[in-house]
Amino acid sequence: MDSSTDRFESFLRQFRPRPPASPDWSFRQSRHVITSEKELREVVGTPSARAAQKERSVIDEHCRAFIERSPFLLMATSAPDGSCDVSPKGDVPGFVLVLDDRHLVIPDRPGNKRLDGMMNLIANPHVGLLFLVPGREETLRVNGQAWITRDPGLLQRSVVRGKTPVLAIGVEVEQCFLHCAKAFRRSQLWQHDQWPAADILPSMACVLFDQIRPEGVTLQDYERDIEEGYARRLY
Amino acid sequence: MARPGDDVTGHRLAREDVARLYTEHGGLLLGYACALLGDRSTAEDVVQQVFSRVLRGDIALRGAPVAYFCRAIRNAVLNHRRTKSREVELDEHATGWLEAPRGLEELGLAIEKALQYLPEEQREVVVLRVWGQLTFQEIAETLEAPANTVASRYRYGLAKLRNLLQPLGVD
Repeated sequence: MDSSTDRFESFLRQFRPRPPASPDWSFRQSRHVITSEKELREVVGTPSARAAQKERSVIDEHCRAFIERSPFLLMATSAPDGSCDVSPKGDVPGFVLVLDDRHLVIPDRPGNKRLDGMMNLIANPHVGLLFLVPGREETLRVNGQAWITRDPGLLQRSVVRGKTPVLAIGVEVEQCFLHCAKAFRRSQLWQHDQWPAADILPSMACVLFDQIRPEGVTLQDYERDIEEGYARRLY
Repeated sequence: MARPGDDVTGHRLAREDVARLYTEHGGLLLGYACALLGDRSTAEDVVQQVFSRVLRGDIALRGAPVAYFCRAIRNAVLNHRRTKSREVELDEHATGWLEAPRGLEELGLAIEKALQYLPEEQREVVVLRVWGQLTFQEIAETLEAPANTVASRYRYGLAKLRNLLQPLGVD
């Protein structure tokens, strides 16, 4: 290579490949995002006749049996602006009362008093419930509308350890069906031997302490306070 | 239990090594993909695809990382073309992969455009030699072509690039 070539190469090398921008994960601007049912159906296909027919508009005997054995559910609510919250509810199996084939009552036990779900319900009654039974890979999905009630007759029916709940959530059911087991099977959620060690994640006290960095309070204070809360304010 | 990203094949580089390679060579690899494809967003997809495959441990890293990644980018571009079954669209718009020194921005864009007028076999050799600083031997391995051929493609390509840029006062 002659010197004029060297010079030209050096000239070119003053220009450098621009480092790639750090990835932009903004989904809403991504050209890969699907925006219509047509596109979605092209990818996923249509449900089987069985999957399409399983939906019920009332709580039949099978759904009732599932609810009566369920100690735990997740409740999804939505604010008027569409923003959502999901919160767990749990107690002894059958803690959710099945009043008839359209009406359920979820007693409200003391929580964190943030009331995210309840505040949503005041403004927008639509709820989605997902009931779990330990060891059972199917879940029961119940959708409907819900209201916060303090009907003493209903609250009296939910006494646990001598404690009557102060409030309950009354649900009018619109849709009810079993959800298939695939997610549980893939995740091996109920396989004890696949569970990670209990200390794989830091304790709630550690996490909160790290996130809040409170002044004049120690991590031990946090741990003690949280444990006392569990012990004294469960009902 | 295997989790996404776990080393299941035994070839996986540590995540931080992949991140370092991305920081060091990402610009060149994106530039190479841009030079081949003439389309920035497809080039970005290709680079991302190659790095995700390395992260997942789907492909083992052999030889000098930069030459390896250039080869992987080239393969991904060829695959992309095969699946899309379309020729390279000669895109007159610069994709902006070259960063110019202050005041020379116009020239930077002109270089990118001029490169698009080189035959692809010359263009890629020029990019890998000038900006990748790969040896002819490494380029030969990347392209699976004889080193002599690579050297002569480079000579022709560089001369043509120089001719194209001469009207802009570059010599």
